[in-house]
Amino acid sequence: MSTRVLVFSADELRGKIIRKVLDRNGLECMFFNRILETGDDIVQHSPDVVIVDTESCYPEEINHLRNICQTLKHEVVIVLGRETVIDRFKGPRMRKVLCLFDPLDPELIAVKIKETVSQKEKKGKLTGGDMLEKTLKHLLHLN
Amino acid sequence: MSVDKRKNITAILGPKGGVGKSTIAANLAIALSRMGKKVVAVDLDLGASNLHAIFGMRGSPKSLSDFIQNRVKNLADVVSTTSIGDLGIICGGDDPGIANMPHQKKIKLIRHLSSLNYDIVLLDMAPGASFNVVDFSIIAQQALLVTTCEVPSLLNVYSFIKSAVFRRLTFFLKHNKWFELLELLNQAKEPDKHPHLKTMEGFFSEARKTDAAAADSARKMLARIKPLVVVNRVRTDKDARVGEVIKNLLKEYLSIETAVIMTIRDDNAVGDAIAKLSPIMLDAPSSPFSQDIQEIASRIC
Ligand SMILES: Nc1ncnc2c1ncn2[C@@H]1O[C@H](COP(=O)(O)OP(=O)(O)OP(=O)(O)O)[C@@H](O)[C@H]1O
Ligand SMILES: [Mg+2]
Repeated sequence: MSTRVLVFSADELRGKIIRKVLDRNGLECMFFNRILETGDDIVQHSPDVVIVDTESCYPEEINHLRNICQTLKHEVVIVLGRETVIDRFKGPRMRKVLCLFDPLDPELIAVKIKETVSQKEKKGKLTGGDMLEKTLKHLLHLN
Repeated sequence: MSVDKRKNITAILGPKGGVGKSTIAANLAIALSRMGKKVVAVDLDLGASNLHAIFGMRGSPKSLSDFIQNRVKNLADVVSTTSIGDLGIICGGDDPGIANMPHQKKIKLIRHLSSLNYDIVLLDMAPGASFNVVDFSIIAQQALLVTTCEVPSLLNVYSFIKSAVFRRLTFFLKHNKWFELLELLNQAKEPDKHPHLKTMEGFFSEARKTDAAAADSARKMLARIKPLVVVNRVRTDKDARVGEVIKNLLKEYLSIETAVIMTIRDDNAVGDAIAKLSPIMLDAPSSPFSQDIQEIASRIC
């Protein structure tokens, strides 16, 4: 199953650069620039990874992104932007959020995504997610 | 998701009994009401109603039974007020379960639910997967499927979503008079006899051979089914990942790509609050359970 990535950036150019590099790295990527609709897009596409770029955002958009990041539990979340802005994305409910400071480095983003997703997969395997899937498939006559 | 705000019916379902539907419904109603929404919580677990107790109420002089038995004309007239913001409740009463509700009464109830003047109408459903329960999940703009991490509950949730998918496709194909596809769908109900129809993907690719346009529009209709699965009583990280397993199965066999998984932690404060006849959202607003409910509320409103 390929990794699905949603990129949110108010800066069209940055968003497209990120998408291009991630696509080239074999990641299935979509780009959105309507920041205030982030929540809907996440519900609709249920991605594995969410990238939020704080560059060029208005303060209310940054607040919105912050709230969204606090609610995401299962997705890998990567926040991009200047150090002073990104500091606001730290705290107890943001433990799983990964921050990457400017200057923008899309190749580094791709590496981080691959690292985190493979760690997540390994963890899932070790804890018997596969076993449960097998049991359910067996009981539901799916295999 | 675009939702008609006037008719925002959210059904809390969980085919297995005792997984936490009513506790979640009551506290979600409180969370939404505190976010400024005008909410009414409706106890549709007729015959075994207990939603009022979770709100700390002893009962109510008026209930859904009065409406169903035609003692009261309008559903709006059986809404009881609570002391919490703009939150109303319709208590269940003592009718036999909705599994046995006659078709006409069900249609009338659905019509009245849709015209209640609230931002959010939260339905606390009975357990089981009877046609009537499935139908309420279909009319709802949002369906929250509650499960615990245990295998029997997970099996029930998968089967429930599968029934809803088949029932919705059946209505859709009948409505459009695509009878050949309907026949194919009936075959898909017996996957042992028709193994190539075991997955929805198999059904769609077979259906395309008969009528490509019809198959594609049925697929589009299916893409609109976006169940929100709530894994309740989560104790460990491993429990939390159970949702992913369900999500994979829904994707692989039913072609549902859009399932969203949320988790609620197991929390002793839930029992403590019930013992005090006070909803946990008010009794312990910063407890893990209340925090998780708050997150779900922000996600669905
Ligand atoms: N997250 C939780 N942590 C601890 N206890 C919980 C939690 N969720 C629910 N419970 C407890 O589980 C029991 C069943 O909950 P509830 O009555 O809400 O389930 P239900 O699905 O509505 O049941 P039924 O199918 O009978 O209507 C209750 O005792 C409740 O206090
Ligand atoms: Mg109940």
